[in-house]
Amino acid sequence: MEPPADVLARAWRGDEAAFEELMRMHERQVLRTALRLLGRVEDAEDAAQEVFLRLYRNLRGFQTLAEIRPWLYRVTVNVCYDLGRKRRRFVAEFPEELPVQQTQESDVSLEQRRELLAEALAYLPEKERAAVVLREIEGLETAKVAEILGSTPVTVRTQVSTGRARLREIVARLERRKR
Amino acid sequence: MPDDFSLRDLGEPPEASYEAVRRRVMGEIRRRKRVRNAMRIVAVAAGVVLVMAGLLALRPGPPMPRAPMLARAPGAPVLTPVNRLLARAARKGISPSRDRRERYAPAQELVVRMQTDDPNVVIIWMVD
Repeated sequence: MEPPADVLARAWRGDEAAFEELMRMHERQVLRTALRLLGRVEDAEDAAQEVFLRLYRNLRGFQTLAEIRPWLYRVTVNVCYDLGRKRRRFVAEFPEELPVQQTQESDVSLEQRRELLAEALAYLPEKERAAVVLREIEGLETAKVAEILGSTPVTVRTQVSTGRARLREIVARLERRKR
Repeated sequence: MPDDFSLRDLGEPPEASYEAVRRRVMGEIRRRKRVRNAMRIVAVAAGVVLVMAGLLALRPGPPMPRAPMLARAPGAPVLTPVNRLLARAARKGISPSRDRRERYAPAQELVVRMQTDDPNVVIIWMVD
C-alpha cells in the first residue's frame, strides 16, 4: 500500500482508484457508526453512501489524511440524523408497561444480549445515542466527541452516563419481554 | 444486564455491506462524471454556435441599391386679388398704384435651383 498522503493527492486529481482506497481506509468507521445510530444495515449503507459522496465533493478541503477522520464522524452523525428523521428511525419512547418476570441473567446468551443491546440503542434519544456510540463503541475521547457533536465535554459525559443507565434498563426490560 | 457489558461487543456490520457501499459510491461518482462531461460538451457546442452566429451577424452584406430620391417642388405663389390690394392701400393711405409699384416692382426672373443628393441632378424652377 502506498503512503497515505499520496492517496489523498491522487484522489484530489480525480483518480478513482485512489478514492476507492480512501474509502477502504474509512469504511469501517463510517458504516459501523451509521449502523449503531440507525439500527438497520440497509439504512446504514444508504447513510455511508451519502457520507462518501460528500467526502468526494469536499476532497479538496483536506490537506492531510488526519483531517478526514473527525470530519467523517461529524458528517456521519449528521447524515444519520437526517436519514433517521426522514425514515422515522429515531423513534420511540420505550414502552413502560411490560410484563415483568423474574429470570436469571444466565438465561440470556451472549449473542442474544448483543441483539438486545443493538435493539436497545434504538430507544435512546438521538443525541444521547450519538454520544454513547462515539464514546463507547468508537472509543473516542470525550473532548473529541464533544467537538464532533458541537457540544461540551461536560454535556457529553452526562449524555454517556445517562445513556448507559438507560440502556441497562431497556435491555433488562427487553430481556423480560422476550421470555 | 450485567455491569461488565461492553458496547464494543456489538460486532461489525456484515462484510458484504462494505463491498456494496463501495460499489454504489463508485457507480454514483462515475454516473455524475458522465453527466458532467455531457453537460460540458453541450456547453462547448452552445458556445461555438453562439460565436458562429455572432461572426455571421458582423460580416458586411452585399451593397444595397440606393432608393430613388424625390425632390419636392415648392408650392405655387399666392396671388393676391386686386380688391385686396386696394383695401390694403386704403389702409396705408397711399394710392393703390404706388402700393402696387412698391410691392410689385419690376421683378427679376426668380430662379430656384434645387440640389439633390446626386450632384449630376439639379432641379431648376423658374418663376416669371
